[in-house]
Amino acid sequence: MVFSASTTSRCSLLLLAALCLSPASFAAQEKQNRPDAFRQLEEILPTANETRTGSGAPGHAYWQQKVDYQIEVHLDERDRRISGKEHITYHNHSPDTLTYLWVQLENNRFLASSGGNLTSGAPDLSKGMSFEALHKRQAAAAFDGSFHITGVTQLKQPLHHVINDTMMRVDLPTPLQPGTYFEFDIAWNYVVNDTSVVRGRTGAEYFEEDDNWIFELAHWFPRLAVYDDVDGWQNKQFLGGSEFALEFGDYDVRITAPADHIVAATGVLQNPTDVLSEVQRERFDQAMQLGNDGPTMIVTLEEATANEGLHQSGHKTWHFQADNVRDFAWASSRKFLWDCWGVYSGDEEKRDGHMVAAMSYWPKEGEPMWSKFSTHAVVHTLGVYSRYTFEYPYPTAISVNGPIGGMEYPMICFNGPRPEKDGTYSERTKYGLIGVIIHEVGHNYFPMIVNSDERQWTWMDEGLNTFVQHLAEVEWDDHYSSWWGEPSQITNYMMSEEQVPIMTAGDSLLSGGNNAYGKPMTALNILRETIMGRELFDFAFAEYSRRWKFKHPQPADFFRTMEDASAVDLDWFWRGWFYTTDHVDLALTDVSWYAISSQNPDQVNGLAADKRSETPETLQHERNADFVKRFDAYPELRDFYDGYDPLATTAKQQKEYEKLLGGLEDWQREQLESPMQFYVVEVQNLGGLVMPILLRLEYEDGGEEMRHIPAQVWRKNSLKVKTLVVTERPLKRIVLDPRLETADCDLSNNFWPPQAAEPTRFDLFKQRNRKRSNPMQSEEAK
Amino acid sequence: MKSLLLPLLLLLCSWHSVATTQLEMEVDQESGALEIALHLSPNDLETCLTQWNGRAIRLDKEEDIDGLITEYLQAHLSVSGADEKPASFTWVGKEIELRDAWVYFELDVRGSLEGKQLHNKLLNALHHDYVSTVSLRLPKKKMRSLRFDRATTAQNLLKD
Repeated sequence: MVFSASTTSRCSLLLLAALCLSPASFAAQEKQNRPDAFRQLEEILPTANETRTGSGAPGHAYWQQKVDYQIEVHLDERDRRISGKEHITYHNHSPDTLTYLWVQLENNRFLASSGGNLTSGAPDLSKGMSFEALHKRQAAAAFDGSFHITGVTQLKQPLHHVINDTMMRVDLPTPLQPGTYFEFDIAWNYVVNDTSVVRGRTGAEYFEEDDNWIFELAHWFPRLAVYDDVDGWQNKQFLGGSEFALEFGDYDVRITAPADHIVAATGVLQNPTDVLSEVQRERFDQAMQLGNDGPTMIVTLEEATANEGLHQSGHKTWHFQADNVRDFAWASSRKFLWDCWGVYSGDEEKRDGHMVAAMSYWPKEGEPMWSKFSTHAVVHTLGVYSRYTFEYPYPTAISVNGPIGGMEYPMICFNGPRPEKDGTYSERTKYGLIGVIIHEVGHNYFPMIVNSDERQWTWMDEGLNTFVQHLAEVEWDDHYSSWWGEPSQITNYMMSEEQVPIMTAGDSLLSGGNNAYGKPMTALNILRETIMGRELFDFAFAEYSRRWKFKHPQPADFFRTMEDASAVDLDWFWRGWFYTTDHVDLALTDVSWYAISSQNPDQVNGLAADKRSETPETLQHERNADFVKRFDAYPELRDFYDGYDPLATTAKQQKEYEKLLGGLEDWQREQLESPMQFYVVEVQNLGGLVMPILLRLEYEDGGEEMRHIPAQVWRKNSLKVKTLVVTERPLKRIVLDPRLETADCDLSNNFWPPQAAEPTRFDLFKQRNRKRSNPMQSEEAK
Repeated sequence: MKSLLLPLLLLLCSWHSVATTQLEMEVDQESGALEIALHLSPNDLETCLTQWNGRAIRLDKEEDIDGLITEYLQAHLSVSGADEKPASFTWVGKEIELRDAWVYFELDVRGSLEGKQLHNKLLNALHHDYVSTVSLRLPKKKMRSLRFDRATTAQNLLKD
């Protein structure tokens, strides 16, 4: 094959370079000052072992502890006081002998002297503060919501214990051997925070109009810290930011609340005849019948409104049991409406699942939004999440409206959005409610069941959950607008300079929303849609979920499983997206065009003549054209060169061409006539993250096609690559990442030929709103 | 707004908040104004306006919402030079969508950012983890990125 003259010379150079490859050349290659984006993560990830394998699955020697609780708790509504006692059975499944246990006392965060409070930094006070705000801050500073531990005992004998901020060490009277268990008791009380003064993941909301409270109670009892094969004791203090790390266990909980309260809790109610009316029990049974097409009210609006004024004396005890959960939360109020919809956890037609009571509890202030959307959103979440992970294993799934904006616990979550007082609500509030319910119910899967360490790795539950949340949202309606999902939604954050990698401890994150929610979910979305494809990704993601269901995964287990189950080397992706703060900015920096030359001198010279004729006449040449030239005045000055056309085919050229043809076989002669076009497309990596090169080829004939070049094209040079586009049709334009799949932060350099820079958002707005006015002008116009 | 100072704060907040603002800035070479496009969550905007005004503010119901936003922005975001006099503020407009709010305004920096400081306290009373990111477009396609949070509320617009 013969190329045009300029191409031939380049080919010759390439050939020379190839011939010169030698060990010395490889040595020089190693010294190149370029980041190795495809370096494997083996020096970063922990060495695989019998507990956690190199495949990302739990190993044959995997173990985890188990903690069972029997709790009796009393809610004093008037004083907002919780008093409880618990009997704990700690099962030591580890191969280690333990001499002490660590117990978490998160409520100690509600103390002015707590580590979390002392290290929270200063607010902006330079603009001062309103009297109302000042009053709240004074009340907050004076509030003590910490645990008052009144007893740590074994068989009524005191156990030595030491409290360090939000952690309590309980010294064991004798070392706890592997395979044995230890039983002990803790008694405590504390005052629940009023969320209008002290916010948190738990608290109580007061309704002045009817003198009632809604209690939403979390980390309300001393809970065992995790002891595992990775960290030993996970006893990092609770600073208020990073959430929880907890062991699985069985819970038997008796909640004594005011007699007219409705209590919602993790687990299954064991004594409905003691706490529910006959009508309520009948309604519940009806709600749990198969085939219902919506929720059934257990407590109606009229009943809840009437209940608000009761304020009965006396108490009732609600008995709940929850097996294989990592935590227990509950809510209590006489304001609650309550609905229930019994749904099948698996394929209903095949009867391969079990019945789940999807339920919601809310005050009248939540109407009409909550009766319309909440339990539907719960059921929708279970359906979608179960499809992408595993069948929902628990018997209940509950959404409660109260003071907490959005928090998750096993089988129960707290969600804040409410309509206006007049019952109307904006579209934003509507989707805010649906979105937060999907998110918090979705947390049942991550981290309540796939039980990652929230205290250390926020992204492992928030990022994965936000990713599946998006999958559920797009199945809600046609125009659902998710917070995150499209790669373009994360580009501003990724371009910012002051950020930390996703693989940063939760309490050290900068901009946790973007870092732990938005960026990892976007990364997973890009993996699914662009890099791995839906089939490979969905299998691998579900495999990770199944492997680590009811276990404690670590980041490496996720990274390894996604590769193990897909046969896609993703170390480059984890390295770039999770271990660096680089962003994506690929730029189309050069395109060279080559075509096959037939070597026919008429054609070659004709093309050159065409090019010559396309050269614009210079201004000076045009102005000089009318001069009388000397050789016009003296014709004897003319010679051969005045009539010579260097692009005219010569006899010698024609002869050489015929000689060339004579030496070729038929197939080679056919190739010389091929209309094949060759475009060498140069792409530079300006942002640091290597990504697939997605090219839209737009042809002169109006057609177009996509070329998807895998990210591995960057494996030998992560800064600049060239890729070859071979086509029979001349190209008119090339666009890089035309469908915004890669989170490319600067789209202005994604075009060949280059195109003018995109106008800024500000410019676009101004163009659309040329007749703008400021508020003063508006006022004067009135 | 009457105000007092207080040295102690105790607040706990959920992670479950977007808690960011993004500002795109560029000096318009013709007018000399710093053009600013502020992106934030409508919920956050509504909440901070409610806090600032001491009454419930709804973006879609308030009659003079542009005026309230202007007042809030002027109190929480400014550019000043050595004389510490804040650059004058011009309202340009806003776009409120379901998940995103964009607010457009100009600060008269007289064509130069040299020696000028950006004071940014937008929404930082809203959340302990609140972060505001500024992307400043400079000539020759250069970009400068600044990050503000509760501890960092003033920075030079150009390199220190």
